[in-house]
Amino acid sequence: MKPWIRKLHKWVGLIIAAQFAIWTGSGLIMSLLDHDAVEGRVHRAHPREMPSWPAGMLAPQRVLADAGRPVQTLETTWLADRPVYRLADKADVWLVDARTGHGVTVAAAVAAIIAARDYIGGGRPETPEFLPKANTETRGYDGPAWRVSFSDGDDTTIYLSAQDGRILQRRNATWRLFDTVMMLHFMDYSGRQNFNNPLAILAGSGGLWMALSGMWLLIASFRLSEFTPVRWRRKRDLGVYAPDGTKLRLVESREGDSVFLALGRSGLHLPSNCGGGQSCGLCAVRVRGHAPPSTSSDREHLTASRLKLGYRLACNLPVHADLEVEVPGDAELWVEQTAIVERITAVTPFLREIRLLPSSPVGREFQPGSYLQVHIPDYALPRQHIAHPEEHRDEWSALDLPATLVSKEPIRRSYSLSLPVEKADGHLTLLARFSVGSSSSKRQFVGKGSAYLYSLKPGDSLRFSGPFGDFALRPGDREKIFIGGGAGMAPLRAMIHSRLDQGGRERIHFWYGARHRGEAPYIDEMAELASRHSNFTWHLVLSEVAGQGAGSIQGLVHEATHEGLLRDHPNLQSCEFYLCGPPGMLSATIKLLRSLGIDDERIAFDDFKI
Amino acid sequence: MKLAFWARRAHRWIALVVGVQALLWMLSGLYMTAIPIELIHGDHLAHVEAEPLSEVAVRADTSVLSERYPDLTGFRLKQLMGQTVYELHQGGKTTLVDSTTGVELPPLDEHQARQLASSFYRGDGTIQSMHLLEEAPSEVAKRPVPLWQANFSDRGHTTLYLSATTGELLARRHSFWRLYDFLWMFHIMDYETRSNVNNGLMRVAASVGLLFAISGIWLLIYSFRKRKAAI
Repeated sequence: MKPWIRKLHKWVGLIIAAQFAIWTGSGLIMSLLDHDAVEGRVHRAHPREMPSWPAGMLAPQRVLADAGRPVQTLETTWLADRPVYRLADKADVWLVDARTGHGVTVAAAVAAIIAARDYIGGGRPETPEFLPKANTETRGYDGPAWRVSFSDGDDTTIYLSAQDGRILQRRNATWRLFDTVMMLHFMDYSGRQNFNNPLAILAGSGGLWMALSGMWLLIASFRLSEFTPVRWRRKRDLGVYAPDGTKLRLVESREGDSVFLALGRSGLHLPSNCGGGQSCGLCAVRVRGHAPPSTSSDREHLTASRLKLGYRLACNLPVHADLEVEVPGDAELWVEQTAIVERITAVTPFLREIRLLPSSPVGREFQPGSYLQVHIPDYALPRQHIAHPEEHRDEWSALDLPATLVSKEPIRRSYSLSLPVEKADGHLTLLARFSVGSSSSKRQFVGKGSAYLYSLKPGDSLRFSGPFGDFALRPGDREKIFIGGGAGMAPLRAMIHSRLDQGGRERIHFWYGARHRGEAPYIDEMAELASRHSNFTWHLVLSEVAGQGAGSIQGLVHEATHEGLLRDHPNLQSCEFYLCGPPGMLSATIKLLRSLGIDDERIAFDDFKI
Repeated sequence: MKLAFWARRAHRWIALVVGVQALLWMLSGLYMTAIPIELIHGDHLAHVEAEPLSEVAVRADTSVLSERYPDLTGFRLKQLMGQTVYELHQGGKTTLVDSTTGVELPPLDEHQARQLASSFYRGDGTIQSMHLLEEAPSEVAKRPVPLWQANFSDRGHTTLYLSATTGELLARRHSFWRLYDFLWMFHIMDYETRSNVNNGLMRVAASVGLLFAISGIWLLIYSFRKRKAAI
């Protein structure tokens, strides 16, 4: 397929699209409006039978002789009940009384009679209104005219020529709508009837290009097999692999689908901005084994070296036989997994441990330090759905939550594993903070992820992607210093458990900061770990003066760590640092470590996904 | 992006249904806008011009005519090939009468019709054939019969239609008009009478066409986003 045709189709489409919608829309309206109503036939009386021409009228030759100017045609007609001669020359028309030969003008009363006789329906005629010059509704006639409006629901208006009393137009509301729509269709916004205007011609040319190029794209983009119902086509196995060669999934595909479509059908949406139209180039996959010849679209978006490696656009890669592809590095982004909520523990009033049982066992890539993206659907939750244990009632009642918590579109939120998977019997353990703040004076602002996670109950199912992240324990047995705060507890806790369970003998310090004791999770667990492992020490740092107790230090965690450990440490340069916490704490700590001359190489941190 | 995925699928499948018609709409629409309507009407091909009426030529007494033609509802005085004539109307029936002698004129014969057609004609061809038709061909379906069809030898295959009764020029037809009419048939999708825009097929096609346009606009929103990180 020719990429330039696609490009030009898109760009001309940008200009023409709105008008094309107007054409089809106005065309539809014109087609729907009953033509008889538009033409005013609904309120038009049946034409009366012509009476015999009366005897004793003035001889036509007399009228011609008296006209005193050239006459091209002379004909008999009736002005209401008066027999008249209608004389015409080139552009001029006038009436002469057939009995007397006197000139006749069309008076208001006569116009009213003629209009009333032409009309059927419930409306009453209003007094005729004289128009010295025609208006847009008399279309094509530009002499003087009478306008007679009727008081019916259709706003019927009859126009008569003031020259000879003949009815020019029968207009009504339907016609007016039709005429407006017609104007949009013709693109003649002033005269409304000249469709030979340059704008219309230009738009029409663009439209024709759209149709022709679209036709080409259509023929080129449909595969014959797509016309066979899916279930009649042969099944093909589409193996999906990560770039490192690990098999991610086996997708059942049907012969003739593109790889993009086949993955899409299975809910696996490859990165794509154009939706599989060969125009963004994001959905490239690598064919394992023998790749089919590249097409012009492949060459448009992929470099020669990538093509050589077997990369092809998934939206332009048909499945003919069983096929194996490698999907891009962040394939986990679109590999969706599900898990069942097994247990929820309110560790503190606003920190909740959520234990998940994944529907299929997770692999070793779920390392301490890695995080999951939880897929939060759009929701509207009544406040009551957010439950809390009785002992936290005071803290929760202090919040001013809205009656309904709303999230209008699906989002993803990141949560770190807070316990090694092995230690949790294959479960995924998350620590979710209830993120709440008051953006203005009154309204409580609730995090969209928090609200959803806090509404979950055991047995609920949850969708997630992952794991992601490069925050991980480094191999080796260097002395490790963990500094954290808030929900930053989660990855540090997982790492510490992991390291201690591995039997690491190096010194491990954990300095953890919170505002007060009530906000600090896992205090007892940490104390218990410290008593069991002689190489692990644990320090709780509380910033608020009140609520201090045994074993806690007052102050900010990075300052406390400095005073209590770093300032007097003999060999800081050989230590490793693992940091996780709120942004303020994190940047202050990194600044401190740098001022102590610690190499960035030795500092690993998780920016908390904020 | 899931939405783009569906937008593109919708656009393609709707295109399959309405694509050919969209092409016909555009093709016919462009023709109709690009060719001036005056040219289509054939104003340049034939022109009716007449001398002013002279009272001297009008001798026949209308009261005598009323007696001879009962139920006379009206009449018209006009020039036809240099001759002043009465066109008498009795309800729907029309008769020509010499205005000087009052003698009834027979319908136009081939010679007269040929002469008349030539006098109207402004092109550079000559009359190739003359046919007296008792049934109007479809390109002049609504015109009264009998009529004379004068075919000219020009490039546009001009045909002039004259009323055999009154000598009036009823219609001008030529290749541009015929193509216009043909395309109009596709434009409004009335393949029988070529004039009914309220037909069901047209309504359905226009609805699908509108959906098609909307799906295209929907797709446009995605088509211009390039290589931004997709999550």
